[in-house]
Amino acid sequence: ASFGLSTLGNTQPHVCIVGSGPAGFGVAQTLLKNHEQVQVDMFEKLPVPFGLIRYGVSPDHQDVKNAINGYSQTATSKRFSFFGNIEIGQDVSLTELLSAYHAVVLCYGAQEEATFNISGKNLKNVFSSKQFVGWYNGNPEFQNLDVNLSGKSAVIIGVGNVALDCARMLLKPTEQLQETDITSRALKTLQKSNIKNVYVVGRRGPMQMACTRKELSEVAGLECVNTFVEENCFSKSVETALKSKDLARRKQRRLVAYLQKVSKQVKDDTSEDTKKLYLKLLRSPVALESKNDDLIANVKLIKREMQGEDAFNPTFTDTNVVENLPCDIVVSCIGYQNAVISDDIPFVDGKIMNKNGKVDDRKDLFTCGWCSHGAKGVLADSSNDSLVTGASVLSNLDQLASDKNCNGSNDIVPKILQRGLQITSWKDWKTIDSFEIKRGQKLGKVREKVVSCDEMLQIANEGKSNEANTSEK
Amino acid sequence: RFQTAPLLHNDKITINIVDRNRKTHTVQANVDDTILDVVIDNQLDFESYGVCEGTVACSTCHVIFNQEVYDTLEEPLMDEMDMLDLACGLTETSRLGCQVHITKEMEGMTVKLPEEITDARDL
Ligand SMILES: Cc1cc2nc3c(=O)[nH]c(=O)nc-3n(C[C@H](O)[C@H](O)[C@H](O)COP(=O)(O)OP(=O)(O)OC[C@H]3O[C@@H](n4cnc5c(N)ncnc54)[C@H](O)[C@@H]3O)c2cc1C
Ligand code: FES
Repeated sequence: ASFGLSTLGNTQPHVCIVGSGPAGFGVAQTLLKNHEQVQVDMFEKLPVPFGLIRYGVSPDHQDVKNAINGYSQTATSKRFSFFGNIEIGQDVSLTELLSAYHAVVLCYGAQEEATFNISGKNLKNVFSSKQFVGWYNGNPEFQNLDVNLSGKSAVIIGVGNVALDCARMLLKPTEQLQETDITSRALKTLQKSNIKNVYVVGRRGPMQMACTRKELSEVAGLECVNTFVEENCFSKSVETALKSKDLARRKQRRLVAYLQKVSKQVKDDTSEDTKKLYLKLLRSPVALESKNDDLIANVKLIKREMQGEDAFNPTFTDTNVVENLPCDIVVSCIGYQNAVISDDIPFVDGKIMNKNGKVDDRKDLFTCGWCSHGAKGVLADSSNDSLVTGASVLSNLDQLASDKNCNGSNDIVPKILQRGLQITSWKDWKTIDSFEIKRGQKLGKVREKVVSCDEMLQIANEGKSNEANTSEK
Repeated sequence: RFQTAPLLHNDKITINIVDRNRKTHTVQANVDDTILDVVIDNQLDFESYGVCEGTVACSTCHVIFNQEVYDTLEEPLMDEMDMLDLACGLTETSRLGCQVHITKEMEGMTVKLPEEITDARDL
């Protein structure tokens, strides 16, 4: 295999990417396309690729998942290798990677739960978005979650897109989910759900909602859903803001104008299937309470007021009015934060300090996507970010490659194997991928995910031994 | 899209597409195709472009028109507006390449991809 490389001597740059989400694949694509020699190795903690495209994006957003086709195309490059089931910081240290590669690009996302300091958060049927989303999307870590949807009311805390994803999953007719890649287990639980009312609670005003108009319309626009929001949210300052022409705020204005419109259209609510979505803005959750068991029964809120002329930058003050929302399940969607995978990385406020993707004070360390700037933005932001980081890596790469002698995976893989760890290759992923698609076909779904890492590894191994058998014959 | 008759010679026009590195690509475009189709058919292979494959779910196919051509385009539909709101480097004459169809009137026009938004961005 070293044929052809020998002429390049040690100047073939070896780059390692940590994480296989949109940021990781975006950087890989930019490097491979713009550099004729670079070898790109991608390490992923899970046995399977694609990060939040697979485990975050909702099952009913299959169009977003088309991104996977482009990433898979990138992965067919001869100068690309995938090493799954290897967690950097745990199985292999960053220091080890840095000595084996000319450059390391951190693209490991920000999937840790943001801390939610509220009493009662450990009650039964209280979940974080990370848990709840992971549960319906088949993330192996959250398959034992005991989600109970026998009650009538759900409270979602937060008004971002993830919050609305969760609200939609609870309100959407399950016939519209049954052909997606939602896990069969979650689908069954949702089919039996009794949830009729979903309260979405936000601390700030309408112009501060972090969701998009599209996301809101995907719930509020459902035939079976009536949407309610208090009229006093649309204060005079909000009305003025709605008339502004500022392009940077168009997104906000379209969202709020839609909310105003949809809250005035009350749909037929005589049917048994009618459900209600309440947007509870200007409220701080202060406690989660149970009756006399440890099951969630009530969310205690404090009402807040909005002051100031400029609805885009108002001030908020707590009142002393308390409101109680009786409920049976709570999902807190207050965001994600960055995990510290090495003490050597300059972290400030959960962000890795960097300029155009080059980590501060480091020559050979780069970063991109949610781990570099926090858990904000959509796929398009991560894609754009990968162009920026990719350009930074490219402009330093040849210098880095001539500075030191690195052999990439040749150095690091033997160490990993010595530690008794199993690595999944791209081919292994393709085996798991076709297994999932086949199993999905039988159920009339686009895919039925394998939800345990052990089973994924087993399927990969069986794939390998089947292949060995056929080639012997 | 249905094409029952073979395309006539005059159903093709020439347009210029400026990539993110400010390089101009002069290419042939079939009338009625989308800008995204034109990018793919001409194998322009722009990185991270058209990531959702034209399903109006990503906004990475964002292009910027000049005012005169922009004014001739039909108004964007709601779903295009929704994705445009999320496009990086949005301008007053931005559209999604997967939603704008080539017309004969576009002969010789120039569209631009947005430049990379570097650290100045406010994410
Ligand atoms: C619930 C949810 C729904 C969303 N829905 C949409 C949507 O509909 N449309 C849209 O455009 N955007 C959506 N997004 C946003 C989109 O998913 C993100 O913008 C994007 O995935 C961020 O990309 P990333 O590569 O930075 O991180 P990630 O996608 O999180 O990828 C990081 C990868 O790194 C791996 N990793 C983590 N730690 C390590 C380690 N120590 N070693 C090795 N590997 C590691 C992870 O397993 C993961 O595969 C959604 C996000 C969430 C949370
Ligand atoms: S290609 Fe995704 S929106 Fe056009």
